[in-house]
Amino acid sequence: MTVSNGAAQPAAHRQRLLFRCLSLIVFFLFWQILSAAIADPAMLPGPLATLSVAWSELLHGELLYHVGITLLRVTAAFCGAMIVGVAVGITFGRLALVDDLFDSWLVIALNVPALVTIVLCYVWFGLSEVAAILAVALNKAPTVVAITREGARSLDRSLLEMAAVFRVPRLRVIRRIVLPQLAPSIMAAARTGLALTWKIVLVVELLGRPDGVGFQIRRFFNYFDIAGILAYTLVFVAVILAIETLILRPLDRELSRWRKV
Amino acid sequence: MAQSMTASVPLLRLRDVARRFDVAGKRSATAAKTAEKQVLTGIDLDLQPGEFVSLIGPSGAGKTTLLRLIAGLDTADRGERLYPGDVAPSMAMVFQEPRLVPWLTVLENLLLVGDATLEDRARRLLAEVELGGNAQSYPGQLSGGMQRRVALARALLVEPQILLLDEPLGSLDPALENRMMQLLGDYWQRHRPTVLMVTHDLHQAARLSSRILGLDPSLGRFVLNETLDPAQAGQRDEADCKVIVDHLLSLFPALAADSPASWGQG
Repeated sequence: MTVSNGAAQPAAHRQRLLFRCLSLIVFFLFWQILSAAIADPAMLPGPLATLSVAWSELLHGELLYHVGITLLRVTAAFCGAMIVGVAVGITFGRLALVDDLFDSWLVIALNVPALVTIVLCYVWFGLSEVAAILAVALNKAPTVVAITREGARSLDRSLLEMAAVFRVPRLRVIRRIVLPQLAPSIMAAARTGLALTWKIVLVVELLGRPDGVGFQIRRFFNYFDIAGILAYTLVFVAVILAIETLILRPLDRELSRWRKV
Repeated sequence: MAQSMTASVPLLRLRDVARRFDVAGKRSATAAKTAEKQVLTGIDLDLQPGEFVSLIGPSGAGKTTLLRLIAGLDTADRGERLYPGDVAPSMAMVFQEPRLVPWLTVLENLLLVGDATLEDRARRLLAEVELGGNAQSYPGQLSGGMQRRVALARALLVEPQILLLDEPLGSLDPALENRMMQLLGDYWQRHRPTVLMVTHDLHQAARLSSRILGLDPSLGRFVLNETLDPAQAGQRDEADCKVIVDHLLSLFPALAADSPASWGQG
């Protein structure tokens, strides 16, 4: 059985990959046809027109600069939100008192609209880099707290008891017993978080930063340059997809390897 | 290595320990509830260095509860747990379930409670529990009986002063159970740790122990405290065991109802 499994897995994997590529090609074809069907090509430029704008932005150096800046902001806000969110989430999940006292705070935090946090941060801290990143992290952190809390609540007590009897050092308990159990929650928080973070970063940039993809989109909006908007969107979506495919998904697979044996 | 058998300072002492649960298994808030169940009413126990104590009694007598109190996993409603030697002795425990960490290999599970310097010893112990070839397996790849043997090896790895065993040889096939009893007996004779083993199997208790305690479920305390020759502990043959089992049954007939057939056929 293990032999047939080993042979079947790469084949199934190849097939999934093929379907994924085909579906992407269909998407671009559909986009091209739709744009050709619309009388005014400026309203919806096709993928080729969009790519050619992206290419020229790349040649001018604009594209890499703005995408790079936005990526830095996404990284900073993402890491901040993950570190604080995981720590607070574990506290919520392990200490019933904290959970009882502050659960309603979390509900409030989860329901404050992103736009409100952004505007307030800009008002309170000025149109600064710190305000921008703080606003994004504050939007993202409550979700991380909520997801991590669920993981921390369902920690296996019996393993913690075992570690207690054997007096396993605290750090080793966290590293070898607690964190691996939280890994699925943390990965779920990371994967949903990455998409959310970059969307909010764009709004933050659009409202109050002099650079980044969001800033460029506002500029293109002012000129009614839809090809430019689509070009930046396309490139940034590709970057996020690459991060998801090349970093997060392999990491997830590595962390859950023991489940498959 | 062998500790002095004349030492009179107990490693651990329980005085008048009581513990009750309500029907749901949770600690009751008030003593007035009618549904609550008194598990332990007044336990006095001295664990001397180097003795192998078996704790027997029918199901629900509070054997596991007592083990958890000693391990510090539960707190008593009343009474004290003392360390007359002034330092808390090191402990290891084999739980009723193996409690292995599923994402760590068998070897990593052992080294989790020790450290990397014990790797050679860990491998030797795995070989002794007949799992030498499974060091790199994950617990999920092993059968229930194999997992229990890993748990036993893990407990022996740290060379604890007090070894707590909760039905360590349950659910093993008879031949394997016999070999594991041999292993446990030999280990005890060589290292003389203090062992407290919970079992409902009188034959196991008779073969391995230097002292046997019987816990009565209706009274919630010991009704039996039989000392046996420590030199023979772990080495007794079927005939010796049969004599001890019969003796235990004559003193504590309540055991007959709950005991597995294995001791009776010898």
